[in-house]
Amino acid sequence: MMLGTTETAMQGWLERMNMMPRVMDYACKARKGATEFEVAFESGPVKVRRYRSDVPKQHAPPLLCVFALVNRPYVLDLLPHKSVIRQFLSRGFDVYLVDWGEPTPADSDRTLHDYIEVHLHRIVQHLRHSCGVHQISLMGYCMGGTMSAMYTSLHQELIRNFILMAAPIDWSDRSQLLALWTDQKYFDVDNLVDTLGNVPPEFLGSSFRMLRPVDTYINKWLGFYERMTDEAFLEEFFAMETWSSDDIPIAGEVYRDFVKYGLQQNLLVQGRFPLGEHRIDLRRITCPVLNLTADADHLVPCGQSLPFKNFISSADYEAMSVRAGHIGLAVGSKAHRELWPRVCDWLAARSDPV
Amino acid sequence: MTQSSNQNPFNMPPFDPAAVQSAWQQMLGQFARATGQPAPASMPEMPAEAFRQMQKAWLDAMARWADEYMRSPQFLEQMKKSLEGALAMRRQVEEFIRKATEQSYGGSLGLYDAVGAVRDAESWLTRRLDEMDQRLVAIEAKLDGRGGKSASRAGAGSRKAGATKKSKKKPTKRTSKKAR
Repeated sequence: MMLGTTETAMQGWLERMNMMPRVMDYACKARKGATEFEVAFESGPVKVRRYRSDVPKQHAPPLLCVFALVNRPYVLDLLPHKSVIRQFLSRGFDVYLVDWGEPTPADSDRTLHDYIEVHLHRIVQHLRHSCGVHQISLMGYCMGGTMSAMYTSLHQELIRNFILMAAPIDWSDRSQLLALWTDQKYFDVDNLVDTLGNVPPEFLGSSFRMLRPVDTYINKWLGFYERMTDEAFLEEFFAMETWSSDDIPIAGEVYRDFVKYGLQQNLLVQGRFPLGEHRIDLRRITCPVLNLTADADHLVPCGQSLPFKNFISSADYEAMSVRAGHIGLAVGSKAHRELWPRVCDWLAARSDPV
Repeated sequence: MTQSSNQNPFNMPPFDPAAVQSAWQQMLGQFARATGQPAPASMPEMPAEAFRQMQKAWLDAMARWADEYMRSPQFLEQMKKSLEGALAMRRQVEEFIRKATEQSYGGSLGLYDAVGAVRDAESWLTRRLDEMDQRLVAIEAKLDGRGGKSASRAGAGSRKAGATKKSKKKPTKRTSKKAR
């Protein structure tokens, strides 16, 4: 209750102030990830986590999850009851997650090619050998989805199933705010990268937050005030805040490639996105594809993800959507109740029983 | 190696929630007693639901206005100029620091840069060698595991184990050298 009478408002305020020590306690206790894991593979700053589970393995191809380079990947395992990783583990999948690590100033010349063709390829080869399989299932979230699509187009023979999760593919719609801000007319990406090297997390974070300033700076805190006496809410709120403030820089050359060839020139859907010596041709993707989108995604609108279908050759294609935002797709209650069980069904139907 | 991160994201010292709760409640009690008079009759009251709707309408309007403003050519031009200005300032500061350092070191900055570059290359090479060492140890361990029976039959087991031991020592050597 925000304001009924002056007395009840005062009472509500006192109730909330009474909660402050608990609020501080929850802020201090916020965890970075919910499920135990072991580092299955390490190469430079890149680590691959293998998640532990008591549920016996039921499906043969391991699932490799690839997150974006701009945030930490544990959003896929934020809380025990809001963990995409646990959804898969509970259904008997062998789940791995790529942690790209934090680039140092010396890594500013690392390109998308380095991340995809060197690191990701090494990881896939390692999983194939360590799990004794020829192919793996791949799931990419946000920018990690775009990178996974590029990888799959180059190494289709190694990928059994491909899940795309709120991944930008087609930037032809220029009406989105981020597309306007990164337009060549207003944004000189070369100048930025040449001057700064790695793109600092403050720059990226504030750009994303400014896309919806009223939600970020007012509505969120009004909602917090309203619900701060609810302990379950506090746990989720601080887990989310911890993750969203845990930004990392992005290697300068990766940012340059992604903005210039993706957001500005939209070369991926034209089959002309340069990656080292290659040009990415999405038509080479023939495996089963599941495309997950969030209806209220303001960062990667459905219009950037759904056209993926038109550029690949897969006969087995399915799209699923949920009423959520970009991150709500991974941590939203509705997504965990309605979407992820269906995603597990989809993947199980396309995997071999152990 | 089992891991599960549980770090304190706000770097706050550990505190006793019960003690803080008790002190806090005491303070709030005093505050409530001091301000707990009934509201003046002349104060206008508003039903909570009406207030909520008004607040929502106002915030929605503000969000629409912000979105429109951030799409306007004026904002985009201003954003472009601000970014260019900030980057130019950064380059100037870097140039100033470079020149000041160069003057302080009597023009030998290039040499320092070169030494720095060599050190960077050295640490990169050391890192790569460590990684290769680890992979080699893992491969040898796997080979020992697989060919354990045949190797011992051939009497080669001890030699292989020795090789693994030797390669395990290498990173320690390099690490200590790096530390020096």
